[in-house]
Amino acid sequence: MAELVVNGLTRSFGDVRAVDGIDFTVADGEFLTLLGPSGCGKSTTLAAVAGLDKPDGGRITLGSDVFFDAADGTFVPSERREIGLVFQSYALWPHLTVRQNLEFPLKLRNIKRKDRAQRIEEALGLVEMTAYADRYPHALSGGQQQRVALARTLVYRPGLLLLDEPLSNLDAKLRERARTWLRHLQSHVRVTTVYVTHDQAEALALSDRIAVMNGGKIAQLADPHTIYDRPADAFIADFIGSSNFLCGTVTEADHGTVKVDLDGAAALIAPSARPLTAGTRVRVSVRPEQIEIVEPGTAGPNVFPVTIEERTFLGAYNTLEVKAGENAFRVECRRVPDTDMIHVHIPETAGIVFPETASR
Amino acid sequence: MAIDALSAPSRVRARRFDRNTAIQILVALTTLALVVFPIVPVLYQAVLDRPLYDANASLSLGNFVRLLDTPRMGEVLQNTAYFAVLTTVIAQVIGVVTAILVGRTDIPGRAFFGEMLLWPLFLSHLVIAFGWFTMYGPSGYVTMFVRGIIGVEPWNLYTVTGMGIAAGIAQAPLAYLYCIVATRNADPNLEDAARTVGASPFRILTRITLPLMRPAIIFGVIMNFVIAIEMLSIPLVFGGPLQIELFTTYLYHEVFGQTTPDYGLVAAASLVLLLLVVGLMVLQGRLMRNNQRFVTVGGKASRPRRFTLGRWRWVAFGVLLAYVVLAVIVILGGLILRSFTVFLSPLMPLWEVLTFDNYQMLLSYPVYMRSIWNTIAIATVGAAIGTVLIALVAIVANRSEFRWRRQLEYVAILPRAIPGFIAGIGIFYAMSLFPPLGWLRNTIWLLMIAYIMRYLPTGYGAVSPALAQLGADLDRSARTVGADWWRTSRSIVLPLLTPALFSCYALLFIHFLKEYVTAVFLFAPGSEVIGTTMLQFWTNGDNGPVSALASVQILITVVFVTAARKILGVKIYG
Repeated sequence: MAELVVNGLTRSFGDVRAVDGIDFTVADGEFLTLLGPSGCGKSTTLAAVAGLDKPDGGRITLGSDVFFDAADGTFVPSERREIGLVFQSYALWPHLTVRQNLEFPLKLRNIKRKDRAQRIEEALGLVEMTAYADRYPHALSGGQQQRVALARTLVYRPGLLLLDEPLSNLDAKLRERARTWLRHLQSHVRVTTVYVTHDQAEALALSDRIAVMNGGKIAQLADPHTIYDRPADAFIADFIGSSNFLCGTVTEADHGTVKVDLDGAAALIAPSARPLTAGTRVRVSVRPEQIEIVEPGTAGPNVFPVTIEERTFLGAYNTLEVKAGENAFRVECRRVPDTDMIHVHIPETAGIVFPETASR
Repeated sequence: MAIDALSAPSRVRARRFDRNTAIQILVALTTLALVVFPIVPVLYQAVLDRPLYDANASLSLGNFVRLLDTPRMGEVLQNTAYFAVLTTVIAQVIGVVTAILVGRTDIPGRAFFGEMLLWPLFLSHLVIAFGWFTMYGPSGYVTMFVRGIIGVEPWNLYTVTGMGIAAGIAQAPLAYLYCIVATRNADPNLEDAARTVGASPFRILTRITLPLMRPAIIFGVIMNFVIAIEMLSIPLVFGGPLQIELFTTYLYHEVFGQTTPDYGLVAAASLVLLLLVVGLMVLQGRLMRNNQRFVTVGGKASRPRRFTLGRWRWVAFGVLLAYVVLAVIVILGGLILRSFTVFLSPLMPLWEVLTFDNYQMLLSYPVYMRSIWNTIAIATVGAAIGTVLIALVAIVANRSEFRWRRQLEYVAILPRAIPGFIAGIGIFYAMSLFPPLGWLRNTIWLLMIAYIMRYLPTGYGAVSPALAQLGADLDRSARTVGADWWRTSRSIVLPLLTPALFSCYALLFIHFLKEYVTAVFLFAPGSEVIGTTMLQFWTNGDNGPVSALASVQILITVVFVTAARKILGVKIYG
C-alpha cells in the first residue's frame, strides 16, 4: 500500500550535483537505510522525500500519492505529505511539554480531545516515556528526547517514517541500546522507513536493505549481508567494515578465479566475478578478521610470510600492522605472536578483486 | 495505473486555500508601501517647478539651481560640516574612553556608571537640549553661578562649537553602547597572548584592545555623523537666537518661516540630504564588510581580564563621576528643578521661587494634556502595531519560501537611511498627492504610520538576530508533522520569539516617546505630541511649562523602562 518509489531524482547546488539521478523503491513496511560519507547526497535525498527541499528532476511517489514530479511540476509541501521525520537535533519544541509536543500534530488533524489523549498515551507507551509526559524537553536526557521525537512522529500514524541520523547525538553505549530498541519498534509498527546515517554498523544492524551512496549516486543497493560480503566496488569495500587492499598484477585468469602476484611478495588466489586478463593491475580487498595466522612450517596456496610493524591492543582482540613486500595491511588476532616474522593465510574464497582503474 | 491511483485511498491532505502566500504578499506589500510612501513624493516634488498638488506643475531642475543660489548656502553647509565633525569626534572620544573605563578596567562603581552613561539614550534630544539650555545657556543656572565667581561670561553655547560640544555629549552614549558591547565580546586569549610575549598593559590596550574595537568605532562614527547631520533640536534651540543656520534648521525655517513654503526648494534640499545619508550608509556597509578580521567572538563564557588602574583608580573614578554629574545629572536634575520653579537662578534663593504653577498650567491648557495623552497613545499602540509588523516581516524574510524575501529585508532596513525630517516632509507631501488618504491628516494615526516606518529597521535589528538563533529544525519539524507555514509561525516560531518581541516593543515604545522630528511636519491642532508642543511653546518663551513637559516625558520614560525591565525582564540595549 505505502510503497515509496523514487525515480531519477536529481538535485544540484550551483555546479555540484548533490543527487545525480538516483532510483530506489522501499516496499511497504520495509526498513531502508541510505548510507554514505558526508556529502554523498543522502541527506539531500531525505530532504527531497520529506518535502523540505525541492529537487530539480525526477519523481517521488508514496503509494498512490505523487509527492513530486518534475515532469508536470507537482510538488506537495511537507505539511501535506503525511510523513514523519525524526531530526538529528530531535527538534522538540522547547516551549511545549512532551504531551503538548505530541498533541500539536493531532490538533492539526482536528482529532477530538478524548482520542488525542488516548493516542498520546499509546505513542508514549510505545517509546516507554509515559512517566515524562508533563516535562519540558530541556529536562530530558538526549536518549529520552530522541524517544519523544520518535513518539511525536508516530502519534499521527504517518504513511512513511524518515529518520535523519537520529542516534548520532547519543553516546556509544546508549546508541547500541537505542539501535536494538528502534529495530524492535519498527518491526512492531510496520511503517515504511527510510533511515539516513553515515555509521555503517548502524546500517548493518537495522536495515532490511541498504543503499550505499557515493558522489550523489547509489553505489550498491542490497541487503546488509550482500553489502558486507560482496561489495560492488572498492569504495564500498573500504567504507563498510575496514578492508585491507593488496595491490598486485593478475598472472592467470580462470573461470571465476584469478591468480594475483603481490608484487613479488606472494601469489594470491582469489575469486573474481569479472572477466580479467593477465597483466591487469588490481587491488584485492580482504577483511582483517578473515586473515588467519598460521604455524611457521605450514605450506599451501595463499600462505605467505609477513613482518609485524606495529601491535595495538584493543581489549577483546589485537590488531597487527603487517607488511609483505610493499603491501601493508591489518590482521586481527587474540594472542600476540612473540616473533616479528609470521605466516598468514588468506582463504581462497575471501578476497575480492577490483581492477585498479575501477576504484574510485 | 491511473485507475489504481484513483481507487487507492490517498493519504495526502487536500489543498486548502493557500493562505501562506497570501499573508506573505500582504506583509511585503504593506512594508513596501510604508517605506515608499514618504520617499516617492520627495523625489517627485524635487523635480517639479510648482507644488505637487498644482495641476500645472511640470518637470524641471530649477529647484536645484535655486538651492545653489540661496544666499547663505555656503555658510550653512560649512556650519553643518563643522558641527557634524565636532559632534562625532567628541561623541566617539567620550564613548570609547568611558566604554574602556567601565568595560575593561577595575574602576569603582562600574554598575552605576554603566547605567548613567546609557540613560541619555532613552531621552529625546529636545529634552537634553532644554536641559543644556537651562543649566549652561547664557542665562543658565551653572553659567550664572560661574560668572558670579569669575566675573566674566565663562562660555558661549550659542556658537557652532557650543552646539557641537552639547550634541557630542548628547551622542556619546551611542558610541559608548557600541564600544561596551565590543569590550564584552572580546576574546581574552588575544590579550593573554600579548601578555605572554611580554607586552605591558598600556601596549596591550593600544595595540590589541583598541584595534579590536575598530568595527564598533567605525560603526559608531558613521551613525553619529548621520545623526549629527539630521539633528534639529540642538541647532534649533542654540542657533535660533543668533540665527546660526545648519542644514536642518535652514529646512525648518524654509517650511515654517514663510507664509507659503517653497515646496520645490525644500524637496530638493531634502533629496540632497537623503543622498548624503544613503551615501554614508553605503560607505558604512563597505567599511564593515571586511570585519571578519576583527571578529573575536568564540561563544566562550569567559570574559577578558580587567586592566588594573592602580593608584589611578580613584583619579579615574573622580573624572568619570565629574563627567556623569555635569553631563547627565546636572542637566536632567536642573530641568526637573526648573519645572518646579518660577525662575531658576543662583541669584535667587530656591525656596522663594518654588512653585507648582508650571504643572498647574499643564493641567489647565488642553493642548498640553492632549500632547501628553497623544504621546502615550502613539507609543503604546504604535509600538504594538509596529512590533506585529516587524515580527511578520522578520519571519517572512528569514523563515519562509517567499520569493522576494531577501528584497523584503532590504526594504525593511531602508528607512535607516531616511532622516526623520525627510520622512516627515515626504508624508506631508504624500497627503497632497494621494487625496484618498486625506482622512489620516491631522490624526495621530498618521504620526504612528510615520514612526513605524522610521523605526522599522530598529525593531527588525532587535528581532532578526533572535530569529537567527532559533534552530531551523524547530519549524521544519512542525512542517513535517503537518502544520503549514502560517500555523508553524503562530504556534512555534512566534511563541519562541516572545522575549525578542518584548525587547522590540520596549525599543519602539521609547523611540516613539522621544520622537518629534518626524512629527514636526505632520502634527496639527488635535494631534500634538510632547516634542512638538515643547518646541512650539519654547518659541514663545514659555520655559516653565516646557520644562514641566520635559519632566513629564522623563517620568514616563523612567516608569516604562523600570517596569519593562522588572516586570517583563526585557533587555533594552544589551
